[in-house]
Amino acid sequence: MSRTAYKAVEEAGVVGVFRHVDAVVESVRRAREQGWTALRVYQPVPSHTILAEVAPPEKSPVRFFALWGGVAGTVLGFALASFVGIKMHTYQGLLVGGKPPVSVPAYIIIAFELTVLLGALATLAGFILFSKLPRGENVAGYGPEFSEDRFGVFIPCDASRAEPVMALLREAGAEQVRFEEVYEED
Amino acid sequence: MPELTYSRVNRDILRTLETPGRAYWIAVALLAAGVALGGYCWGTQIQTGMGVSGKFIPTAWFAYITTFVFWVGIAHSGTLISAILFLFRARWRTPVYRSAEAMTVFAVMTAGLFPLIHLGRAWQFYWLLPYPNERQLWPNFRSPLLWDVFAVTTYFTVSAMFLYLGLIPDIAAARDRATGWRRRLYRLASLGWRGTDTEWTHYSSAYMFFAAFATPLVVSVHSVVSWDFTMSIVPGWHSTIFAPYFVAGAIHSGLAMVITLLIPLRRLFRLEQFLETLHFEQLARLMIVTGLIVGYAYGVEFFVAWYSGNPFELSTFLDRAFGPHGDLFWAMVVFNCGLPLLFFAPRLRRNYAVLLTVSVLVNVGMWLERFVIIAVSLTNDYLPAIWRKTFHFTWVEAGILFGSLCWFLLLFFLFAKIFPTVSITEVKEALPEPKRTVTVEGNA
Amino acid sequence: MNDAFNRREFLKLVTIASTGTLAACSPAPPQKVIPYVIPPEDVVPGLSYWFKTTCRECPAGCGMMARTREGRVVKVEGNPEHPINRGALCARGQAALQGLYNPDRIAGPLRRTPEGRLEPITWEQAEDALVALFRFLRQERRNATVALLTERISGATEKFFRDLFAVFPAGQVIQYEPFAYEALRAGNRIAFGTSEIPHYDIAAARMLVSFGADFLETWLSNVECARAFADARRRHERDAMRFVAVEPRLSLTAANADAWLPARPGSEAALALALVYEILRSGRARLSSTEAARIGQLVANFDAETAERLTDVPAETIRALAREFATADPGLALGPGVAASGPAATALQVAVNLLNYVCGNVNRTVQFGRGSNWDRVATHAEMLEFIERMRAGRVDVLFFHHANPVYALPPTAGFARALQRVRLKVSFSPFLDETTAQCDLILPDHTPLERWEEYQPRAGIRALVQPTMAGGFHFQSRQAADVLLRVVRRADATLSRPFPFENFRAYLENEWRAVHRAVAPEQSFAEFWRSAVEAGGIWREVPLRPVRLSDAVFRFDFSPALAVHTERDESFALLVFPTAERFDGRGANRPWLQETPDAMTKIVWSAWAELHPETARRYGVSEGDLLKVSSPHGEIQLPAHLTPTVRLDTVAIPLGQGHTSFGRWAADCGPTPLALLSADVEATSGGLLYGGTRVRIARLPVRRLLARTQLETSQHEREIARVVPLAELVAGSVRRDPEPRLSLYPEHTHDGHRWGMAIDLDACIGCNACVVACSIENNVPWVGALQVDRGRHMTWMRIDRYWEPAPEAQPIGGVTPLETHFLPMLCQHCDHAPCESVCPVYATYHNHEGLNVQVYNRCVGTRYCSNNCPYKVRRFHWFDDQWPWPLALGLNPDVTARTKGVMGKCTFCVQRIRAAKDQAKDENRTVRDGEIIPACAQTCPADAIVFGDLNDPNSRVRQLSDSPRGYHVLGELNTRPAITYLKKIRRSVPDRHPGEDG
Repeated sequence: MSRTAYKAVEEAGVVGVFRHVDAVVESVRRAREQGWTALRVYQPVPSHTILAEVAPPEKSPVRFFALWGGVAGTVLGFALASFVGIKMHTYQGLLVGGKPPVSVPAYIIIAFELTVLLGALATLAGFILFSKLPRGENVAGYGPEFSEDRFGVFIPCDASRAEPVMALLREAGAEQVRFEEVYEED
Repeated sequence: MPELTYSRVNRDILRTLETPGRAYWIAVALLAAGVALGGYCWGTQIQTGMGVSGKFIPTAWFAYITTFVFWVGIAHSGTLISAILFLFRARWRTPVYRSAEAMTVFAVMTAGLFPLIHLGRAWQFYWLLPYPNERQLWPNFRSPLLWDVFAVTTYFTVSAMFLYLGLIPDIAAARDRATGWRRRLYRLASLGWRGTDTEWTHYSSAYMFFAAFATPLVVSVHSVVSWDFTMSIVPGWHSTIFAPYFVAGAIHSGLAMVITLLIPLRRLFRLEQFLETLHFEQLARLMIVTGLIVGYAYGVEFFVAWYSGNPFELSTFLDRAFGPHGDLFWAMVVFNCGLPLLFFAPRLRRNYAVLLTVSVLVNVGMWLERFVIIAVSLTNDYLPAIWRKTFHFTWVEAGILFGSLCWFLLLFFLFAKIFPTVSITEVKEALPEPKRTVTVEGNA
Repeated sequence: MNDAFNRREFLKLVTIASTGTLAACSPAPPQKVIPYVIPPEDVVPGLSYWFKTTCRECPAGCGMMARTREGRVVKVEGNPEHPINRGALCARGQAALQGLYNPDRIAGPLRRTPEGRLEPITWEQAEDALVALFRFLRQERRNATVALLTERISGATEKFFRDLFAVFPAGQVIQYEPFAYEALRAGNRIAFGTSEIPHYDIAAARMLVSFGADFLETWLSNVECARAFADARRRHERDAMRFVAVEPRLSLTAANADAWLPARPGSEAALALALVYEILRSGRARLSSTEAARIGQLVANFDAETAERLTDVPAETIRALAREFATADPGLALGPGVAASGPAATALQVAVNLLNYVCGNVNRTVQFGRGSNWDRVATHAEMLEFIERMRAGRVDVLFFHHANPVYALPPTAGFARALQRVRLKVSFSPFLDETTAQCDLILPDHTPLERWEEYQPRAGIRALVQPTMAGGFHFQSRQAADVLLRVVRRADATLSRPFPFENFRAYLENEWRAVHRAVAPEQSFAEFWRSAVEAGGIWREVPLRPVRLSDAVFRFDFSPALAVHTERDESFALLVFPTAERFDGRGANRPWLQETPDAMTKIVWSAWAELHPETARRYGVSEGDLLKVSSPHGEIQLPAHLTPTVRLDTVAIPLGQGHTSFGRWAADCGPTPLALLSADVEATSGGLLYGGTRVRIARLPVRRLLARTQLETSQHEREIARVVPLAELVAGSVRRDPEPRLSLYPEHTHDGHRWGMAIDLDACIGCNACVVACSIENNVPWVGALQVDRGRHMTWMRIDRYWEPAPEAQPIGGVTPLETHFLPMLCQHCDHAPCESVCPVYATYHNHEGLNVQVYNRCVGTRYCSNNCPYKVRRFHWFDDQWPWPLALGLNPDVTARTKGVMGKCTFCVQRIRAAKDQAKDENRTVRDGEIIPACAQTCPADAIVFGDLNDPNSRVRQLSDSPRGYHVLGELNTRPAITYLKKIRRSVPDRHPGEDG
């Protein structure tokens, strides 16, 4: 304790370990009622019941990444093909098969492929960005059981106010409640 | 039906990652040797020249391009199962999709080798890529081969990312139980995934979009591959039905390959309670459909050849069926269209032995199909003066083809021991959510 | 009697001189080419220099020009001014280069050691040996018989050798040619009292009947004949020549005929006589009634019916042909070629002479006085005599000068065995051929492209052979004549008095002083000599020497003409024929001649036995089966080739292969049919009996590789090689076949030039000259039999050959007469080239002058272009090309050699286009029509290929391209080829058209 006292606390809070989904939902409701809005839920599967409760059903912004990535791909693909076509045909006089510099039907295929490619890349980027990945080890309240079969409700709060929160979670049906804090890594 | 719980799922699936036994290592060693052999043959070919393969004029495309198309085809059903069936919310796909997806990626990695092996000057392959250079030389975007380059690279990138995306939560699960190098690897690969609500929200949305991108992609890729042929004027190649015909064929062969891989996998990793007979039945049913589509395509080709009144086309197709290589044609018809019909009988499609044999034969048949289309058509084009119908399949070709098969299997073997071949997350998702009160079930 | 001295004495002479060291002689070739450090003033690097000379690849003596770069010959072409070939060359001539640079040439003088090995010696030693020999022969053994066996020589060369060997009391010079045309000589002697072989004016003939004369392949002077033939064909349609070929096998010549009459082997004479008979009977003969009557008696028992019985040719066909031939004004009948030289050969020639005579063709199309004199060329009978003398040990010293009798004479003649009895054998051959391999002293001569010579192909032409590059560039060869001059001078002062010359060139020059006085006394000799050398010789029109029918002919016994084997039994007539590529076998060591597909069978690198499929079925033989062919005189084994172009009762086997010692490329190409021939000669002429042998065949349970460049013979009604009937053409009702002109894309134009080509299928005779010319001009490699069989032959140009049953022709002797189409196929340089758009790296594209360009450096080798080329004219480099040293020295420096893994194809000889345009630019003008001639067009004896600018409305190519006969091969594909083919004209014979009486 005293050794770590020199480091600044990065995140501290109480985590309750649950087995049942409806218990989680209930605990979240209660916490919210008592003003603990900034909470997060660890879950082994994307439980729609929980997500509906915790993350309000507004859509993820990842979809805009998908859209604009795709559009960029279309434009880039056609532009690249046409640029090369004009460069080789018009400026270097390389006529092939009697076809014009911008042979639209052929170039559509390139455009299409790049649409998909950039669209997908952007989507992945969006996902990583918004999920704040990659993340280091120091996440308060996480435990291996959350990747197996337990749900965890984490309510950030400092040591002084931990007591009532722990009580709250226990009442909601947490199998186990613990206070954790992680420190900034130097 | 044993009661499945989240923790049970975790345990059983992660158990497949435990340090393998001797059999596994022997298999890996043999496969590696096979890959080495293939490498040696390729080296010989580069050293001596393309002449060591069986090609000639007029048949300038032969076993390599055939195998390229074959592997690209294999790739397809992976995406079909993971993406298309996902969009259609086909629940039964859950346990099979991971291995199908992995198969896709590895099949594309194998397919991707062949255009290079096929090049007369393989060391200049990068000239096919558009990159700025002081000589102001660019590739020709009108060439179907360049479409291939784009389609295949896109396909590889997207399906690899798709596979990875789906893996992240599973890797995290593995991470939390692993030790040593595995833990370090998983920690890195899982990007510190914690399964928080925000993560899951974006994850689901991203996954959905990937599925949405992959679906048209899978259709486009094999269409583009088929256009390598349709864009030419070779009788037997120049046909408008190739795109749908090839896509169907691709999925046909892909399904066969999935079955071929899953049956041993199921036995090996004792995944019986995840991969149930139902799943194989579904795959088999799908094969009946694709098989019929392919058969229809064969028929239509002949009809068009006759109906078009084009003497070149007609002669090519008569030669295809009744010429010196007719046997290959008929073999392909029986394997691809005939055998899958057996699956109409429930007894047969539930019998793993039958399933395995048929799907292996379908794979053979699909390779033959591509060979018949590509090589045999070329022997019989416009000027009879250049007709030349004897093939000389060389040991170099054989070595390279065998090597490529080993390469594919090797990748799959390694994958199966490092990453879960059945999606932990989705299997869990498929289970009923654990609730305190049973009554909640009712009024949910 | 000279049994007194023995072989050892002579061999000693060869060995005594061998005191010197061998250091001076280095057979090891210099492996690197050293660039000029100080360039000689007279050679500008990068500039071509042309030297005119004469082709000596066969006795025809065509004029030749050699193009040299940096002192090396890189291409030979016909001399446009030369009266014989007017710029054209055949495949053999084109391949002369591969004789010059042939790695199998003898590196330096060789001597037989007492143990019987051949060991290299220096030229000093070699000449010492000869000097010793000459002294010995002059002083000690004055009565020794010394003989020179040489190829056909004439003019100063002949005089030189005759005089030189006259210094030996019993010295003699024998000229030996495997094809010595004995029958022609004898036949003419009997009919016209002269043994001259006349000049046949094929060009003037309206109707040509050939009785086994393969005049488009090897007969007399094939290029000259081909040119004349094409000219006769090209005359205005109505009077264009019609041609009937009578021979048991469809040779290349017969394939160009309007009608092929597959008469029984050996029955040609009967047919010819029947024609005479019918012409006389129908009173169409152009001669006095008395003469007609006399000749009538002579041929009395050769009516059409008899002829039908003997030849299988229906009597009414014979009558119709007789009518045709008699009315043709003038006509021309040609006598036997090698294949028809059977027991009735002379009878045939006499008959042909009569036929020409009764139709009044003699002194019109048959021109004596302008022909060639073969008197001094030994007949086969004379050779047999000489062999007899050898066997009797009455030949002591024998010199060989470019003659290879050990190979070219049938084994039954026993030359090789008799040669053992010759005490000393000296050879001047540049190659270690079968004869040379048996010699004791070998003094390699220069090849014709390195030596001085005079040659007189026929009256009025004195052609010069001059060195086109320095001899001894790689092989230590010396011109035989020079060596002899030196030797004679050293051997004996008295001897050398008639030969006060440094070298043969000086001798030749001196000889020509007489010519100068006779021909052009007005100009100075130096001037005359220079111009003569520059022109490659001198030639003038010589007057025709009219002949009359001699009485001898009425005493001639035509019975051989009746002795035709007509009964059907298990024996076959053996038909031995020479091929345009290998001639009498001297072409066998040229890789390009070996890989050039035989015009009819398309076989490469091998001998074969032609069987009719019918026959094959009877004997259970299939393509490539090893066949045992046995005659009373010998037996050979060779692969069978099934073809409908040969009679059912005939087995046809080509000459030219079966070398046992003629370098790497002549080896292992199957046997020679000579082994089957009998020793006896044709009674009247003393000619070798190439024909008349009966053979039996048996199938052996072995298959042999029989590589062919083309397997399919029919064009499957695809109308690839198209035909237009003469009648339509005359009626002017010929319209061009419709072609699609639609395109999704806007049309592109060619401002400036638009290079194009027109190929006249009616002129093309399928002789392969263009194929070899192209290959040599463009450094196209050969790949060998196995690779050809795999479909990897590299020729940029090929001659596709199709045949169908000839319309309205009845089978003759079970053989359906065929209509053959030759279709020269090369890159079509399409406007909408399918190959271009599929190349992923722009390695092939369409340049602004309409060329379909292939950029080797950019090619990555996807081979997609080849798949997408409907003409399949693109050639992929499956391996790195092999150019065994010093063949690489003959590569064309203007053309890139390709590496493995890239695609190559016809470029329309872009290097020549470039050169011509540069020159035009220097003289600031535009390129003139006909200034640019691709290698194929340049060498075409039939002038069937015309190249030029399609944008120029007056250019020849444009004129031809617009012809109503014009069409594009596979035009329906809308690839817009730059090559227009002109349809072959179908002239039916007998031609039934109004105005011709029945």
